[in-house]
Amino acid sequence: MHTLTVTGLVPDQPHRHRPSASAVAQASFAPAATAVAGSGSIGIEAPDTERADIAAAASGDRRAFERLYRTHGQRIFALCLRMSADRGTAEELVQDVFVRAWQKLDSFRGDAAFGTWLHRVAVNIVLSRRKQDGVRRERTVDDDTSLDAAPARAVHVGDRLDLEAAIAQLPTGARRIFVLHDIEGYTHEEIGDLLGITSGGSKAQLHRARLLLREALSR
Amino acid sequence: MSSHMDCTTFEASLADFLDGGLDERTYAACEQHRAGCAACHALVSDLDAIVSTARSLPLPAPSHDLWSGIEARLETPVLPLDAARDRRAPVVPPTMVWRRLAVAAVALVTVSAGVTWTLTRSEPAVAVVAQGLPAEATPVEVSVTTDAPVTATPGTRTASSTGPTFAIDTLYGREIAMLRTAADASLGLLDSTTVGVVQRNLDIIDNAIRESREALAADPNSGFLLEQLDRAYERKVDLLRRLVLL
Ligand SMILES: [Zn+2]
Repeated sequence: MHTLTVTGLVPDQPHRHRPSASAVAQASFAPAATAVAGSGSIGIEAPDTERADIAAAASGDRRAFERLYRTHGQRIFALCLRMSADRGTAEELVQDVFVRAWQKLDSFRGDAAFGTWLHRVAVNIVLSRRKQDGVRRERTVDDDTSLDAAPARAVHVGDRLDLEAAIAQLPTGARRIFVLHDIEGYTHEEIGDLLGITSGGSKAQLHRARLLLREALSR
Repeated sequence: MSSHMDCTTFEASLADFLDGGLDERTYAACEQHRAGCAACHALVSDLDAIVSTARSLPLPAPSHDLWSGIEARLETPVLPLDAARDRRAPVVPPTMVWRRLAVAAVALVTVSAGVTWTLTRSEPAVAVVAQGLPAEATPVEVSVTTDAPVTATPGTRTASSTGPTFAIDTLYGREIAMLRTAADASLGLLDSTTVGVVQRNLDIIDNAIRESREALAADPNSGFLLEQLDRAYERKVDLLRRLVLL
């Protein structure tokens, strides 16, 4: 592993190493009991209360299901927002995800963390929306963006708002792979399976995404 | 590999350099180049900072609480068929009604093992018309039939559903219909051999769907059969999605 001195970056939160991800609790969401990222990264095991809620929800208890939503909803929203790059779409997607999860809850086996299972449900739903989303993105993104030009000035990647905005401007395919790999912690093999592409293709797209982000952030 | 790597070669190896896919020797050559090249050094620093920042991005929150919207869709009212028909036409978008009915059907299946379903539907709710795609790639045709004839035994707590398969059909029918148009576009770009392979796979999946549904008609409370049907649909959605992403 190479080590780098990263300048211009002062994270106020510990660096996240795969396979684990921390979830940030904000208004209307409870702290996530289960860390979720790529399916290979299960993290903390669900506490008994969550298991009880899953069982209760599977037999129709909506309050128990609401607790699961409070715990995992924000993480799912973040995924949907970054994958779709559209707030309204993301909010619809979150609802679709939880409705689908409710319907499929009795197929949840408990051999993976609930958060991981839910995450997978969400990714599937987001990807099935690809077409509509693609149409939306076309207006802002030029897919032939040149990667050759070196940034004219220093890149300010430390600014998370800038990065978040730049991610939203990526071409759909590159954005999704960047989100799944660099934010959510999926491996290239997992992404390949999800998208029906090779892991090499996933790698290439990821690299392209990072270069595009650098270019965007240097403007 | 030469120890004097140039920028072009360095950039070609950059993705693997960052993610650890290089052999030791190439990695060392890259490292050496980076140490002596300001431009490549800056490039690596920037990309690494992007990756680090991406990992520490805070979770955004939705603009409003989404739970009420979710909960509304979890409602499982037992709608009489007529009411559903009446409401469907002017007020509620059809997809909403069918979605609710699907949810209702699932709930009923879960809760009421004793309920008698009267199944008179002769057609599958989602029928895939597999017509051997010709060379120039006729699109996969998926027809979603929602107006299945239903008879409910009076007095029983029967929803306007034709049973468990109806729920699953409806759930996936929506997604399949959504994927179909996009999949058609992809198919149009494929050669006839590939289209043939795709079609054979779709046929196999559709057979599995058909068989599961027939078995479920005889044994509507079988969790195993429901799961088989569910899995077959998952495979179909997965295949269509792969087509879309081609
Ligand atoms: Zn160089």
